Amino acid sequence: MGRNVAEYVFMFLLMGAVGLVFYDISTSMTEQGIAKGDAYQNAAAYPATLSILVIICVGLLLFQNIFLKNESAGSDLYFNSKHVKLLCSFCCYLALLDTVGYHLLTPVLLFATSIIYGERNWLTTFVYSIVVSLIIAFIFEELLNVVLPVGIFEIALPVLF
Amino acid sequence: MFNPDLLFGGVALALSFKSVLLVLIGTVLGVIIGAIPGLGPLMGIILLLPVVISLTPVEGVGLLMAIFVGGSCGGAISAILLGIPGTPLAAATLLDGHPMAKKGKHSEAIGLAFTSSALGGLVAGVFLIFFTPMIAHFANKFAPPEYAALAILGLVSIAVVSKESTLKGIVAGLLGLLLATIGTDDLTDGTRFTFDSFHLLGGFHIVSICFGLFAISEVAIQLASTATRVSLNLKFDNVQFKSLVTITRHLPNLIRSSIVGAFIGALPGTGGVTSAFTAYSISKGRAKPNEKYGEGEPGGIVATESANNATCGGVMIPTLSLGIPGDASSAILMSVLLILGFFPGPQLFNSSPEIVSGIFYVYILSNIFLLAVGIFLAPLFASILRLREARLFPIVLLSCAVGTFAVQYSVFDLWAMLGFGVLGTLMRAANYPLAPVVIGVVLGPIAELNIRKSLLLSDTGFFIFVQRPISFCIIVIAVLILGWLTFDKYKKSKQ
Repeated sequence: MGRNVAEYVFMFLLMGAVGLVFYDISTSMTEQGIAKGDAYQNAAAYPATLSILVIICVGLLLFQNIFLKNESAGSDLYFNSKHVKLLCSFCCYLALLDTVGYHLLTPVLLFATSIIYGERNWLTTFVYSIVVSLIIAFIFEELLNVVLPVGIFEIALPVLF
Repeated sequence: MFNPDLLFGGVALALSFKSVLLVLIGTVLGVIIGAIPGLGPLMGIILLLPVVISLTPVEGVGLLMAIFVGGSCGGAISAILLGIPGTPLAAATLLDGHPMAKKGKHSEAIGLAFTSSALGGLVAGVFLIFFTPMIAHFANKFAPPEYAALAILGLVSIAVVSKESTLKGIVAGLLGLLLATIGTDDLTDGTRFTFDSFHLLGGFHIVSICFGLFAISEVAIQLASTATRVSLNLKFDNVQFKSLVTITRHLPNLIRSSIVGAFIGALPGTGGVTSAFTAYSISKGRAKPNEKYGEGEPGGIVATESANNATCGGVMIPTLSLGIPGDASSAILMSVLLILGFFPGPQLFNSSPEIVSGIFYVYILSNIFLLAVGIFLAPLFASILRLREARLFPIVLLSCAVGTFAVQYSVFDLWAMLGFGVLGTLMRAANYPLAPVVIGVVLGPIAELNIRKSLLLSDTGFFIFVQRPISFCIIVIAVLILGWLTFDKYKKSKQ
């Protein structure tokens, strides 16, 4: 992705966020009665001021990009199908985490991401995925007492400590 | 009045075999926890809370403070070697640490990080012992205008840390400030920008933001650039005694940054991230022409690491002397004392000076251990990073995911982390700095709350900030820094 494309996409997202700020101020915050009044009551003035500053800065950046041809150092980043695969894998992991649970799903994620990163030996990757998943589960579940998602199968490490 | 028990009363408590062992374990554990992206000193402190309840106050607080100290430094390892801050505290360290690693100076960078952290912590320890009453008294006089002015001073550092473009840095900082407004408003209890989602009532968690912006974007960047990525030479020099020699060339920077860290840490609501970036901006401002901050300058690591570890000492000043926790970690430490029947505050200094003194010494001890651990065990801590990308980055991704989940047991936080990961990748592709977003998120609530409180107190509107001498001085400093920076960039562009 060229830097200019990324920059315009980012600016577009920023303008979208600013739009959401003003939308929320004119709807929800107005309904709650916190969009006007003194410094105590008016919770909208500060984010509105920030949003106006964002608009000004984005305007200046656009001006810079279009008229001043500001050249900064750095190279373009090129995204490929691996990124799409990684994003899809992680999205699937998050979507299924509560249902399937950490212990069944995490080795699959680790296996998939290792393959995406270029690992070729499927057998060792499979073993590695299970071992790493168990080690991280041990650290969090046993040593740090974190309850990881157990899913519908209610799989968790036995309590040792 | 000087109380000798405050100086000597806790020596025996702090130097008992059990205390020393617990502090050593805590320091090593803290470094490991800090080095793993997704964890951090706060997580370590919270999760070890049940353990310390069975200990004496000095032993329990000693263990947790050692995790606090070790964890505050441990994040530098992954920041330097991977460009991923293990904790938000290390976000400033990667500005110069990672470029040093790319130049093959990773051993020196890590040695410097440990040495600076330990010495910064020791300077803060001296500060803690000898200047606690004075600093606490001073900070106690601060009112909303002073806190607002201080937040503004911190925000000025946004411009300073933006290497490529000050304007892009300001945009990123504004984004952080806007993100910080999401959730329940502190003054009205109304909700802002939650769009009826209960997940957003408390806003986005800082862990989701930091790991998304820094770690997930790094995972994506590494995937994009496997062919051209600078391969880190992870052959470590042996014991890093030479960092002790190197640090002598940065003594003024070390002492100045440590004092900045201790001072900022002593102000409730601020913390290591603010102090690290503030110390960095000051050091960068005072740099000699041949010192290129942001490109692998050792002074950058000295400034950030000494400041963020000195903050650990500074943060204990209001916690112990006023009973006001400076941040979440010190709040947990304070709760340990409360559970054990000791109430932090001025009365603790009168009723149990030996406990206060013991806490001073375990803090100092943990920094001495940090120095030793850094010198002898740094290669061991970094050994996880010898793994191939295909082995390492899936672990980074997983530890971030599990660490983020563990903070609030929320899958929503994981989606937020992913969202910030995509945003961070886009920002990096567009050459926007990420650190200002974090500064904005951290300072946003402090700035907004205190600006609004100040305006409520004021009869003259915004003039209140220049009518009060302390806030006026802080704002003048902020304006001078910004003016100098603008002039400097203008001068460089002319050249």
